[in-house]
Amino acid sequence: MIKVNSVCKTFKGQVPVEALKNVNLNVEAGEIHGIIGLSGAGKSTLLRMLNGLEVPDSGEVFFKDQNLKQWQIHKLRQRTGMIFQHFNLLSSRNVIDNVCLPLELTKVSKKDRYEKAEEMLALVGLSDKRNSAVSTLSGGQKQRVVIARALINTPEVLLCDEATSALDPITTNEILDLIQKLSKQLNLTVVLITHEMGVITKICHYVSVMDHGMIVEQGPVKEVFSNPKAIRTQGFIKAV
Amino acid sequence: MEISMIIKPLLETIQMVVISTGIATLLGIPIGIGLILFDQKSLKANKGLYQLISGLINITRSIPFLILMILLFPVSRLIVGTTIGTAATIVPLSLAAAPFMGRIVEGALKEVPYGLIEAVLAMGAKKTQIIFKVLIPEALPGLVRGITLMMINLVGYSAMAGAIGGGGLGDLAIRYGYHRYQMDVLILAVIVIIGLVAVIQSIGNLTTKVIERKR
Ligand SMILES: Nc1ncnc2c1ncn2[C@@H]1O[C@H](COP(=O)(O)OP(=O)(O)OP(=O)(O)O)[C@@H](O)[C@H]1O
Ligand SMILES: [Mg+2]
Repeated sequence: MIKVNSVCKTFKGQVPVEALKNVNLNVEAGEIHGIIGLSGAGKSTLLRMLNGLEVPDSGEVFFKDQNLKQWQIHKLRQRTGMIFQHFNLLSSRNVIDNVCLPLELTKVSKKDRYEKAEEMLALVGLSDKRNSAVSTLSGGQKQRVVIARALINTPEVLLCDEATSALDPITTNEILDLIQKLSKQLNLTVVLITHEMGVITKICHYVSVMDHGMIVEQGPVKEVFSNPKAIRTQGFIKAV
Repeated sequence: MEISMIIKPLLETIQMVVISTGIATLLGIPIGIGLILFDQKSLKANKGLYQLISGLINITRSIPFLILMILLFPVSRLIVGTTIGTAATIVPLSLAAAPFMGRIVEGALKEVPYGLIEAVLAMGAKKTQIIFKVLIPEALPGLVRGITLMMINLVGYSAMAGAIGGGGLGDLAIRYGYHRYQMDVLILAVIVIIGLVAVIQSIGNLTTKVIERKR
């Protein structure tokens, strides 16, 4: 589904930052792939490469076996969903109009938009908040709205950048369960970033451990965590 | 002094202020949007163009308003055919206020968090969709506050315009108060101007409140 081949990225600035150094990644359809690493390791940069929010200096990114350079970028983005730590809901819209937005962008008729949005809200268990202002929701409810919004145009891939970092442990578990359930139900490929081991062990099949712009260890979660080779991975296990 | 002598100048001032705020807003919104687009890395970054527009705004804003109006009189003559009266004053008022409005719009749009723009880009939005579905609606309360501020400034500017034949309350105050030493007319004009500003501010506050109550 997703392939990253020897991608490098340096942010130029007064002090250039090598955010990604020769990164490789392969995510199969239906897989939940976790990326774990310390702050500044390059996780977000890598994730943002996958939907073209960042462009590699060298190397290639493939979505469905086609190079990102060959994709019309907004078409590709319509087939992926993205969710964030800080939700990024529009305050100028109520809950259902936020969920509708991706369909509005592709000019789906109003009636179909609302029908689909109702369906999505039911899926994330928020039908009763349909007409609420987003500012009145709790963090967990906001993230559910964001998930409904990200999945309304039935994307094949969901990209999650620390989707649960702003939530308490119980709400985190609820959101992770939801992502896992939806992934199975909709045959969704998920790439998720976290710096919590617990998130990886709870729902991920595969994990990539990042450190200073490099992937230092990669493989099935059980294997990597039962026999960690990289010092950074050992560090994460110790920290739990 | 007749209280009725204030009515016509008041209506003239309202006319000047409302129309020139309208035109300045219509011109200022594209200027502000342009500034945001050219400034924003993932939108349509163009440093040279940004600095050019920005520089032009700074220049027009450093020219004292009265002088800017005089400089713009030829445009007035071109459009309205005269430089005297309310209609002729609306032209320089609007044009002089437009760059200022552009800055105000830029400021309001800048308040929209970048993460929000990026989230909608990640849905596959095109740039025009970002402008009309994210930037403007999200910045609406700030835009209304900015337009209110502009309108109040224009009350002051239009009064100054009175000094050079623009009509309105400023003209009344200068003609009677300054040239004929009729302090009562001068004071009445000032009171009416204060009232006008208060009314504009209240309408602005009310509008922002209505928008924000739903958020
Ligand atoms: N737009 C940018 N301009 C300059 N430097 C950047 C930019 N984006 C990221 N960086 C730098 O690249 C490095 C990797 O950043 P990235 O956001 O990918 O890290 P991260 O692993 O997601 O960290 P965190 O856990 O804190 O979110 C950091 O040193 C960061 O400062
Ligand atoms: Mg990050």
